[in-house]
Amino acid sequence: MNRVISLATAALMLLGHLDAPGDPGDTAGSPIEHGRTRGIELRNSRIVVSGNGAKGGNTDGYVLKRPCWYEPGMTGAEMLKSQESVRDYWFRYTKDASEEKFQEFLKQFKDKVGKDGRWWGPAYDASDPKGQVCFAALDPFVFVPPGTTPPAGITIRELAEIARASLTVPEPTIKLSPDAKSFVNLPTWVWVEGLGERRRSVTAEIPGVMSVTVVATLKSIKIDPGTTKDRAEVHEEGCGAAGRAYAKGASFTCGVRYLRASIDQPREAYRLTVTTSWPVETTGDAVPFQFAPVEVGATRDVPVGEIQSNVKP
Amino acid sequence: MRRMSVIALVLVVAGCGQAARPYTPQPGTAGSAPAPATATEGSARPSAGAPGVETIEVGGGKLRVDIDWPDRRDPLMTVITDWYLASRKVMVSGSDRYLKDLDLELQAVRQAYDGVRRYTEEDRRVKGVARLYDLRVTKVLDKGAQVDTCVDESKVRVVSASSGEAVSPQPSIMRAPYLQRALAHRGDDGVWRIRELFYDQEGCAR
Repeated sequence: MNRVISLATAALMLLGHLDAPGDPGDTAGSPIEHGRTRGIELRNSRIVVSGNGAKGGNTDGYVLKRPCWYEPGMTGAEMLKSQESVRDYWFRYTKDASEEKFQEFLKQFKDKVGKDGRWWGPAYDASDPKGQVCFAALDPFVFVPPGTTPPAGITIRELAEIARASLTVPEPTIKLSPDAKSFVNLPTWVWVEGLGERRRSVTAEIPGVMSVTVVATLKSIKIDPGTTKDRAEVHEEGCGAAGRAYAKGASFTCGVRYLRASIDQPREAYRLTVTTSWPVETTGDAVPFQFAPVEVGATRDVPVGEIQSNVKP
Repeated sequence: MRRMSVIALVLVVAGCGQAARPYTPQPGTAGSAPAPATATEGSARPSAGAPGVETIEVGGGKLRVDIDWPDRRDPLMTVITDWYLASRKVMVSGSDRYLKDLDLELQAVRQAYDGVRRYTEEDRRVKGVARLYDLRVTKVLDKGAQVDTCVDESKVRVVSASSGEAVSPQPSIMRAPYLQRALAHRGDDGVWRIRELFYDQEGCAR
């Protein structure tokens, strides 16, 4: 770890990204954002997240094991150059600034010029409530020899976690047959639509350093009829990846057969939930990592009536 | 939000000659009281570190800041109160020299200076009464801390420095209490420095 010289009045570093301040003139700082739908919000990070699975869907709330980390940045020479480039800034904002102090401050960077290794800086996931304080606990910069990772330095495993947390899948649209209302003992076929591509991938990359891709593939659905077994039979044996649309004459292998009417339920309907399951695997040369499937569901009401019949002798 | 895509600057600014202030949590005991500065006049303070309202007058009373200290006063709370007072001294006086007294890393330096730019470069000042309340050290993790306070500036007015007349429109952030957050990092020298500032218009009731 570097030691920030205590008498120096400034230390500057160029590593990753820097958020510009928001709404100057009213108050200082960046706004705290709410209602994010993405699974991860990278701050001060050079990590690039891309792929068809990184947008246009819902995440499943995957949480990184550690919401902050160091990332590799500049070489010793690049770092020194960047520090020297903000000389005017340093003098303006430093109390009792002097050339001697500035040179003393620069020494820690000059010492690393020509040495193998890079300066690493802190980044974090702002979607994690602990992300900010975790980020604040890390040093502003760390010089790291080649082939090594500092404590809290990002690893390929953590990069894969970031890709996994960024994975989104579309919320399924539940289709039923019969659609508007079902009846006791009548097979209610279930399938899902609106899923788009059934293979979704996300690549997380630190350009020039390391990259990892995770792929989620739609494999199955789970049906929750919204009531107990004595009121509904669930058939999933023929659901495949996305259920089975009704086909005249076909056997009923994916759906629900309700055994009791829903008249006594809230809103007089059962709340049927269909959850899509997308197993995740890593690709490429990286050591394969095990991740839980992405699971995203949808719910809709299913009113179930009874057919009354009169039999006359 | 605009981002500098290639570079990130991390600046650590320590007030030269200031003694290091290592963090020692002392619930219920005195921390370092907000440092009075030249712009502080006629203060009506409770005893240092005591709970209750501390009133600090800035710029000869042009701005009054009431700090409602909690019963469990933590020295880390002064990270955010010192910043608030310094920034308001700038807004009252038009001089950004007060910010040099703060312990800031670069991102917070940029935020602090940009936050007062309208008052140092334009014909604007503030006056009235501000209140800080619900001060708390929300999270501490090793060398990192998150310090939050509610800010009520509904009785503060932005005025023209030359005419003294209220400017229109007034900043929307002042209409209702808002949350101000400071992330702080303790350097190897033991000094807590603000790394980054945040605000949130939700989360604070009057």
